[in-house]
Amino acid sequence: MQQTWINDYRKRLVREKIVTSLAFGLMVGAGADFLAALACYLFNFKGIWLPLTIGGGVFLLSSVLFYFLKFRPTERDVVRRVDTMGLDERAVTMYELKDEDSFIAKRQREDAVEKVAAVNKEQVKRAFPLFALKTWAVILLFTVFLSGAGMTTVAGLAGAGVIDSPDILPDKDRENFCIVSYLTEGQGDVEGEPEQTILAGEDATTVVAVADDGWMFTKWSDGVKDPARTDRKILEDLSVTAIFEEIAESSEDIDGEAGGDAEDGDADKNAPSDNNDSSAPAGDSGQGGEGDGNGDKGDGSGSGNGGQEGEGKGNGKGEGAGGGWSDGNQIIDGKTDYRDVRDLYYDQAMEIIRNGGELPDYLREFIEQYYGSI
Amino acid sequence: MITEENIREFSEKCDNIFTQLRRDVIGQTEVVEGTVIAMIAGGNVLLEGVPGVGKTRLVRSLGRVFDMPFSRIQFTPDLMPADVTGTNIIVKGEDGNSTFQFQPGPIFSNIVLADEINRATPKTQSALLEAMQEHTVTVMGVSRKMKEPFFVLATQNPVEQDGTYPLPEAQMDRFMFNLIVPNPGLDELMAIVNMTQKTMAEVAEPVCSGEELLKMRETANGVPVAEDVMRYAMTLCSATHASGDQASEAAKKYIRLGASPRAGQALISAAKVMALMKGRYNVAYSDINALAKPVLRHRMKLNFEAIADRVSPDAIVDMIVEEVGERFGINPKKEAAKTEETEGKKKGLFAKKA
Repeated sequence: MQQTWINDYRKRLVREKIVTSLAFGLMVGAGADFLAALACYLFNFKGIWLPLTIGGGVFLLSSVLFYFLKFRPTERDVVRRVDTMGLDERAVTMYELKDEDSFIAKRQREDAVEKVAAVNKEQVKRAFPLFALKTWAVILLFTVFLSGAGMTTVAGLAGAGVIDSPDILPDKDRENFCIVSYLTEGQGDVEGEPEQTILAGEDATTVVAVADDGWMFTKWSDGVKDPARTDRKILEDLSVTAIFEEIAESSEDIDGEAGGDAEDGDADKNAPSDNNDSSAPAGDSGQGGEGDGNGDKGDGSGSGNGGQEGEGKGNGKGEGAGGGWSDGNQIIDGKTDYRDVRDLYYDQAMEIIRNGGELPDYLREFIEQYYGSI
Repeated sequence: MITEENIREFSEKCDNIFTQLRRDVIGQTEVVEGTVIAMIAGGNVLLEGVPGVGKTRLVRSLGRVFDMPFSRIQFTPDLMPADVTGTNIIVKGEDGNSTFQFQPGPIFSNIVLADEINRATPKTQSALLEAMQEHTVTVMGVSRKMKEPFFVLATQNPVEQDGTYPLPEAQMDRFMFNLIVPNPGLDELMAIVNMTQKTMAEVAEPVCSGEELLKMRETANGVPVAEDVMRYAMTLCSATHASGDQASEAAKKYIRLGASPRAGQALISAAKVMALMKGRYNVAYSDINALAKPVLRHRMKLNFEAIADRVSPDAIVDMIVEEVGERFGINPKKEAAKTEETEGKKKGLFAKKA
């Protein structure tokens, strides 16, 4: 019986305390919203979602904290409140004597229960109001709430460009951050973070330029030829573009056939395999290479081993050979791999060594760079 | 161990006591109630009032209602301690030898009326100290226990101060209550005059013996006090100390010396009796508030500022009650209104029972 009415009144008190906690949470949340909105307005941050999210989050969190750390009613709180219905501390005394079995304790309990049963609805309503905030708290709640809502509106209007933001961030603070952008030209991507905001003096994270099918990376706009780049000690904004070039159709042929048309006087695309000697004339009719070797310039890059000069020397340096080595085609672009030429060059080198010859510079350089890179 | 019988007897005795007192004393409800509460709780009472307001008559009536030996000591400047406590006198025995024999003074009674106590010298006033607190009297190195129950009901006139000796703090502290006896109202005055025109004789009959009074005290002692209420009462007492951590603003401003722990004891003992008298089985904040003035007003030593501002001890107690009430979330005025509402009492127990 006694426990039943205590539970009844506890529910009422819990309801009241939850409302109180929400009110106080709203107060704190609105305060946080106000501050966040003010910061957005002052620093010209255009995201109205930020103050709203902060305000909402703080409201929920603080409401829960307020309830569990401050307002959650205990059984003693309930009986104390029951006593305010004109019970003259009968309920709280009864609560303290609940484990006593003496005559006076029993009489006191009976007396308390009788008086509790006699309270009218008006008394209950007065003692357990749903909204029991004091006047100062209500005023504070409205003030903070209106301030938060007002400031959020102002920040929103500033974000939308309806009103101007004072934008008070000092220039020296602004300079502390650098924006590094990696753009692309042609078909390819920059893997990693193409847009980075970093503190001045810090390093950017590594990005790699990767070409799409049928395209190859040539260089970065600032001249760097390595597709992977890590910019260090950035002191100002940086914007570089990865330049990709389309691979010409003829190079595919060279890739596939690995041989030029000697009769046309082109450099022999099979030169690396056919000519172990770097000084040997290119192809079967290498003489012609001197004159027309440039005819298919650039074709060789498709296989990553294109020549540079197109001299038709048959040593893989021929422009149209499609197998020459250069700084610019050392990447994996989906078609060409180091290994394509590595095996070829390796065989050449081994053959030369077996024959007691001396490795030509280009071969030595390639092998060194290859092993250096891995 | 309290039984149903104890509760019933307590209630009946209270009814009878008030009924009989009403036959001799008209009005003065708070004073009569306070005095009876103090007697049941086992405390001494200091009645303060101008001459002719019925202080002595009230005490004499109490002496009649409580069927116990009653003695009256009229305090004068030439009264000596031995006149109060008694002394050893030389008695010649049948064998012709002389021996000292203790002749008990008027204090060896159950109810002692110390009339105009502030007229005696401090030395004589001090003769009461031991009796009032320890209920013993020591004469010539021999301590003698007083008969229980023992009360000192003293009166003093606050107006005529010439040739008086204000009671020292130690003496004041031994009075559970200091009750102010006001002048009667018009209706009361008419009733008094009407009654005394017929006869001045006191007609109250004894309705409560010493043993019964002790039993009532035991019953009241069993009334439970919730921790909250106890804390409130003790905070009230502590709030009278200007330098304590519970000090009230009023105390900081007006009080030089606050109430002693005896005030706390008195407050709780008396509140238990009051609660039971009201038919309640627990002590309420309203009991404590109602008793705060009689318990605290004579235990505070006011500073010069209070005297200069003409702030009375009662006003200071009111301020302290209000301030401490706020700390506990109690509004004393509202509490009193609620109590009246729930218990249907507007004029006090004595008035209702009369």
